[in-house]
Amino acid sequence: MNSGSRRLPTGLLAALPLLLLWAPLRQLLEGSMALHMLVELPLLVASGWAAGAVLAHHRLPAGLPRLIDANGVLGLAFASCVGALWMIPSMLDLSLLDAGVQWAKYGAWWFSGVVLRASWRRSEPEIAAFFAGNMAWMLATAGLLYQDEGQRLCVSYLVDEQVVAGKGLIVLALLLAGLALHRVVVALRPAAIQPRDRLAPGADGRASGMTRR
Amino acid sequence: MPGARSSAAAARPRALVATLLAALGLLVGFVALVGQLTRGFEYWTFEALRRDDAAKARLLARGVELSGAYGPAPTPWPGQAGEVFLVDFIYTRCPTVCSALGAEYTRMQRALRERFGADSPIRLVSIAFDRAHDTPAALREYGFTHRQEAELWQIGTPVDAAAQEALLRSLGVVAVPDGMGGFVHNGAIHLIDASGTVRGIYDVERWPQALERALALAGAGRS
Repeated sequence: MNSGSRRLPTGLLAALPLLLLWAPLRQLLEGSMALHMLVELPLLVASGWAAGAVLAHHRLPAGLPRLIDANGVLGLAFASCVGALWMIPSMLDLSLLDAGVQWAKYGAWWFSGVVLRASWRRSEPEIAAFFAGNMAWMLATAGLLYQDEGQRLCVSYLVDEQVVAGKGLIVLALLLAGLALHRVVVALRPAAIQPRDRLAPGADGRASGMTRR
Repeated sequence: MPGARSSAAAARPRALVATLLAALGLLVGFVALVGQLTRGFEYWTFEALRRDDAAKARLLARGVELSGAYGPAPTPWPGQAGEVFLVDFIYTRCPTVCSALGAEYTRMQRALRERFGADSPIRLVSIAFDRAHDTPAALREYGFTHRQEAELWQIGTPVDAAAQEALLRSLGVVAVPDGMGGFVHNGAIHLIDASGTVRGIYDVERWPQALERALALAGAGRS
């Protein structure tokens, strides 16, 4: 697939949150706790990530300034904070009952995707693995709590949905832990071919393995 | 270019310090935000926050027109000073919580009748929210089952969907379809004063405490 044909789906993914202006879709995605936490929120991050790619393609600012995001630390910390905030049950309810919180949620998750793309690429594997591992641990803890709690944690969802969402959070945590491990393992491979964007501009094939720090 | 390389090397610690300071600021902001949202890391669920609001008299119930078995009538709030209302939310087809609430309301009604006769400063209000099924006939049947006495216990459904939404929203009451034709809702007894301010929220099994507090608010504590 060439870059031109890749640009269209990326652009569409970046603009995906606009569909949330359509109330029936919002109600569908947010009508179930599992869809809300495991589909809508990750899709917002993916959409923000795609928006970051579109911005970068047009040479527009597509991440936090390098000066305050050395090694991607601030961006990764920001995304972690957004993730942690929406593990609080009252925030899920408030995002359904208060329009201000609802749009703040869309904005925060989407923006964290934009920031995450740049910061993930800037980060050293150890730093990226540290943040991804912490996020995985937090998701797994929330997932276990959601399953163990016999009472409804959200007034907007049933206990059964809470259990399903809890299981889904654990799967998500395992995926994230796998991603963290993958990032470290790839970096440890001596002859690993690094992603093209880590190379200095204009670097050719002979520079394989070189990284820009 | 050695010059460019050395300036890049000099910028690196500066960026690291700036990043760490920014990350620290973010962390402090995040902890402050969570502290604010959970009121000092105390309340993590919407229901806990709602009950805290009620305990601190920060929840105001909208007054709406209710349609009942005996015709339309407004909610008794805003009312006259000294009046207190014990309000619950039901749907008449509910086989579980609402039946339990109905049974406890019958007991409270009996206690009020014995204490005050028909002229009680404390009145019971049941608001039905299943608009499709809580017809005047269904409300009459519910009242009949639980021996409702109209002068002590008002049962009705808000006259239109917008009024119902406004009332439920103002109190943070949420009814979720249970997938079997019924609802799951944060059903509890709301103690509301004459101004419409919620003064407490009590689970159904704590109805004696709700009644006791209502008596105290009405200035008619235990005699």
